[in-house]
Amino acid sequence: MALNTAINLKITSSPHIRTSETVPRIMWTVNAVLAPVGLFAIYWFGWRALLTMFLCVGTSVVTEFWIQRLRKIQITCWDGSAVLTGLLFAYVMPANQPWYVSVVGSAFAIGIAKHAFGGLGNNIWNPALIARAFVLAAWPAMTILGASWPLPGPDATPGAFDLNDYRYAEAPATVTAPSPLTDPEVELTAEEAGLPDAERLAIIRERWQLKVDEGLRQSTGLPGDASSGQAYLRLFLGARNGCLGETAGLLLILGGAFLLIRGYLNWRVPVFFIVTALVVAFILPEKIRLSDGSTAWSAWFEGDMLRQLLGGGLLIGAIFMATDMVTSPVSNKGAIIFAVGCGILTALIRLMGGYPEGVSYSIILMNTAVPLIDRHTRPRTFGEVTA
Amino acid sequence: MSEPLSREFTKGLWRENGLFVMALGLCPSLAVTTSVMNGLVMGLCVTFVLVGSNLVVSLIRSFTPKEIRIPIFIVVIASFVTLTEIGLKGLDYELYSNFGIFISLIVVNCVILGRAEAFASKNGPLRSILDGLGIGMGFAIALVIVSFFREVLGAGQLFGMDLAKGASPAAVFILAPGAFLVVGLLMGLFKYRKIMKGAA
Repeated sequence: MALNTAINLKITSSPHIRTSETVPRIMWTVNAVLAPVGLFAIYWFGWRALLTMFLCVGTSVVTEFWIQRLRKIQITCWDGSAVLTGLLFAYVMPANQPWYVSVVGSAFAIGIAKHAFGGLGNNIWNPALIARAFVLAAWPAMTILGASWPLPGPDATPGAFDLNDYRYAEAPATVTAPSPLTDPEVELTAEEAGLPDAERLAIIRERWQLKVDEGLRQSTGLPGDASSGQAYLRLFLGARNGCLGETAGLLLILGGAFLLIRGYLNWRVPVFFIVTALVVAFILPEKIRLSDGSTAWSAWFEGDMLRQLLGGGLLIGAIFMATDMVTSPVSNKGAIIFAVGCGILTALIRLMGGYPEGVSYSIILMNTAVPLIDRHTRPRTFGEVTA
Repeated sequence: MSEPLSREFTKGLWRENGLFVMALGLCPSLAVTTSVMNGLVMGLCVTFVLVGSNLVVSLIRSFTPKEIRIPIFIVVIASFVTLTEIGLKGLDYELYSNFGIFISLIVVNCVILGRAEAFASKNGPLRSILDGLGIGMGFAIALVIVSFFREVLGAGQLFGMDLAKGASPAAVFILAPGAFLVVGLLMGLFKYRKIMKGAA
């Protein structure tokens, strides 16, 4: 047979599957999905929210442009990734933070967290979360720890904040930690402090529960006689204080569902993240601060899962931060390990740590472990023999 | 040694900078560079110790037994550190108390032992002094640069004077993470420049 007959074969290198998916397309889709959350934030927190978002997004894009120009690489500041970073950073900060915190944080996210590591696709950590951790360490009193959080008023008038008073809006002193995850201080009289341990602990736990409930009502702007069911409903709908974009639970879940249908999201990450965090938070006792500086613990197997789910940034973190394509594991097995790790760390930091909100730190920590996870969950090539 | 004497001095300032290029002496760089004044004084102390120890190590190099050279170097360095410590205590007690243990810790500063081992034990006294001066000044410059960023960004001050009003400074730069951040970024910058120079 004439094997040496010349056959015209068209040979191309991989990838062979063509798709219309591109980085700009994915990024702009995620931005579009996040837009309703932003609109809700403007409705709820007032024009300060818009200003914060504008500053963060603007600074991100400008920083991206200048750094790409400086590095003499292709300028892709409009591919949506810089916009997304800026938007996500704005979403995890209080609406009324000082303008320079927005500017420095976004510039840090793009300049240090992203481009110092090589730009899009090479960053180890989620840039928006690194920026949050950075400004939290840089201006603790102005951002999270000492900040007074924009709070829905007693009659829940949305957007009732003065545009000129951009540093602090009034908030009750009990709400010092992020949103409904208050960390109240329990006070005991000298008489009660002398009681036997079991009785004392019972009093502490009861009083702590009352304070937590009170904080929950205050951060959702409910009157003192409101039921906790009402409070949870308002948490779910977003009628509460907190970071700019983390409050609107319903919108975040809808956005996540949309991304899931489009295939931009690995469902394993948010689901395992949230479930693990809730289960651990249910099982473990929570630390109770006493006014004399000592600590006590709440009961085992009594954690309030709804408060953990709807308060703080668990939803935005699990759906939009942990699922970042660059900084999460490639394989499904790896994604599950990653998400479970995030969940455990979140619950531990929330229940026992001194920092406000464990979600951001847990994701950053697990991002660090992603290369390791990827290495150990590498799918075997067909026919490969394990050593 | 065919290198001109001036090169022994200038190489330490930039090309072989102790902190940014060799990544030595990180402990004082991270710990005391919270203000330019602290950085400058620390840099001068290190320079003094470095010049002194380089000179003595170079003078005794011909009869230093090779097996126990490290303990001997350390004793020499420690003598100069003790001198510095007592001297600073006498001159400016307030400044001295700012540094706490970090003046004594110059003893274990790798820049100094490194120069004794790599340079002074192999070269003559004049070259060793120049080398010590150069490396020491380079280290001092590096500390001043680091502490400049840290003081301006972290405390909003320069030499203790307030700079900006209205905006509150980013406290993280006064703390340890800020030190790592500044040193890391400057190191990266130096590396980047080096690569660019090599490519050109």
